[in-house]
Amino acid sequence: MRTLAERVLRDHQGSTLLGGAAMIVGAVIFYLAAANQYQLSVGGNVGIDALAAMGLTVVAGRAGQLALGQAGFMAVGAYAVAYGTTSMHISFLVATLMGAAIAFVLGLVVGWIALRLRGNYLAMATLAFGAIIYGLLQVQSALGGLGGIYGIPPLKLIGTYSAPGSAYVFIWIVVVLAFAVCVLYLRGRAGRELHAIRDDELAATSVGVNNTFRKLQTFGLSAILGAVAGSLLAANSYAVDPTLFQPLISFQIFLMIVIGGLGSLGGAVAGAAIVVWLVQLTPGTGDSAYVALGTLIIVLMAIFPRGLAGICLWLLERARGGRRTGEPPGARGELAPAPDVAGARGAEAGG
Amino acid sequence: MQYISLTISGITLGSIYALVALGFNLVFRTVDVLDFAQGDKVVLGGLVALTLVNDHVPLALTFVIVMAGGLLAGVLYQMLVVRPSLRRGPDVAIVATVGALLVMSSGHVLIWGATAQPFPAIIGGSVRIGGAEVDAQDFVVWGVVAVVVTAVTLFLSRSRYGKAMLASAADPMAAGAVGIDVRQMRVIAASVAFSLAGLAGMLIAPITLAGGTVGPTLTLKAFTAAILGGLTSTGGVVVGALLLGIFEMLVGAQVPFAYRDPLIFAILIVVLLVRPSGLFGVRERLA
Repeated sequence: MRTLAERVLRDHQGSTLLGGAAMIVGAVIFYLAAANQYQLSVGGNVGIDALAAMGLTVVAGRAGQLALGQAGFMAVGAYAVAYGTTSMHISFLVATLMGAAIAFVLGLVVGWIALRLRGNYLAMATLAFGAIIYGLLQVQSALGGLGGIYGIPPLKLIGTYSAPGSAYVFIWIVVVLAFAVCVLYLRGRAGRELHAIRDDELAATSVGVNNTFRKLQTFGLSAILGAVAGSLLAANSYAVDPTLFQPLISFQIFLMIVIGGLGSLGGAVAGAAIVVWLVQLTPGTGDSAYVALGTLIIVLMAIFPRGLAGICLWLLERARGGRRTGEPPGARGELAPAPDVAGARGAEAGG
Repeated sequence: MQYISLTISGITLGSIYALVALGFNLVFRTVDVLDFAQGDKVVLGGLVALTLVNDHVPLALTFVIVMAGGLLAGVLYQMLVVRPSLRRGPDVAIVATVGALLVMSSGHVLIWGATAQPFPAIIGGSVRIGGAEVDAQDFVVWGVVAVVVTAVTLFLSRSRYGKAMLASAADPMAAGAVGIDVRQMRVIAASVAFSLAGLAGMLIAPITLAGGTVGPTLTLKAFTAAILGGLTSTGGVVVGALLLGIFEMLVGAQVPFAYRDPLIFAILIVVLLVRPSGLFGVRERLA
């Protein structure tokens, strides 16, 4: 028994699957325990943000690419559904596929940019990308300009899911499927190669990792997940407008994956749940929640850069009787490049 | 004639960007971290100034309070936000600045509300120069920015602390070896950067508005200015900021308003890809 637990914990895939199982159980329990329709609609929003956060996790957590434009991809999916279903009269599914295809192409463009920039610069470039999308949505056009598009038909695939309960089930089925896609993508060669790219791009290339192909592929996948999240958001809320996709939203999604633990898929879902739940809990627009969460990020970065996932692993490790490695997992930042690169300017001089 | 007055407004806007970009530049050079909360420091400065002005604090005193408060806030910012995470690498510190961004952008909404508020003109009246109307306010902005930029440049090139700061930016290890307190230099850089951002907020508020969710946009514009001029060149940053301001006003007048920001950000991406060292910086690869 102990060895099984040990294997699950030691093995990255094991803990990922454990996270997935916990997510499914959590989603089902929440559905059964939800007291009213409002709670279920909040649960649906958690699922939508979890999708976007998972997409960002693949890029930022696993491939180590600091990307801050996820709201831009969400906007593409959302406006594809909003415009497609109201003006082009195509079905939700076709509109979602259309949005995903456009987002995929844009994702490739951002991936191409990521081949040339890194760290600080990539973060700024992706933030600029999101800001460009946000700015263009405000232009008075068929997409409604500042007022956005309203009267979007509800989620529809085989049946129509307009009630919060059925929408919740639909959204979470999509989340579980997306989780499975990410696990399948990351557990094989792709995951190992991304890990290598994150740790040392040059070394990865020298042992035959096709850096260009992997980065483009990963950014494409991430963009599709963001777009699908946006599509669900549009159909679930009946109306979209540019403020839903302003650059601040990209930061909020980034917040989710950092709280959950960069690189952990389960952590991304947990982070989305915590952020959305806290924001709904606080009166007003949730600003006090963001102040608290922003503070939490600052503290986490100083103590546990790997977020909740890192804390969980560390606690389990301690409970099992020891810190064999001498430092808690997450003592070195997941985001940090190899020490010889990071240390030269920042770490050794001691901040 | 329209172009002249647009250029004049552009210079005013650009000189305010220069303040923010200069702070960016200082922090980036000494700490190696791009601060995503830079734009929100500007917003904060504008709102604090607005509160003081509404409480009938004299304008000169408001300037002093905002700048001194900025210096103090910068010290706290470096000690509480950046330093603890920086020992885990620059990328972790960047994430911490994102946390600070969320605290500031939501925090100011809690205190001052979500909608941007009008800010009274610093000084009324206008002067006619060769057929173009120039607000007296523009002169105030130019004057303040010129004094501040000169002071910062002199500080960096002449004073003992300034030189030590540049030394620790160029090579923290070597600077430490000759007895420069690199950590202290970083605190000073962060402190000056916060103060400059606060001042910029006070100057820009009468032109745009105080408050609102413009933080990330301002961060991006200051970064664009800094990149245009080359992130490692003080003079270049100022020229880059002025160019950006003039471009924004001149081209902004030709295209619909909503296209203005996307155009600027597209230029940012292109410059990053094509000429990351900017117009005046030393060539350096970013990838």
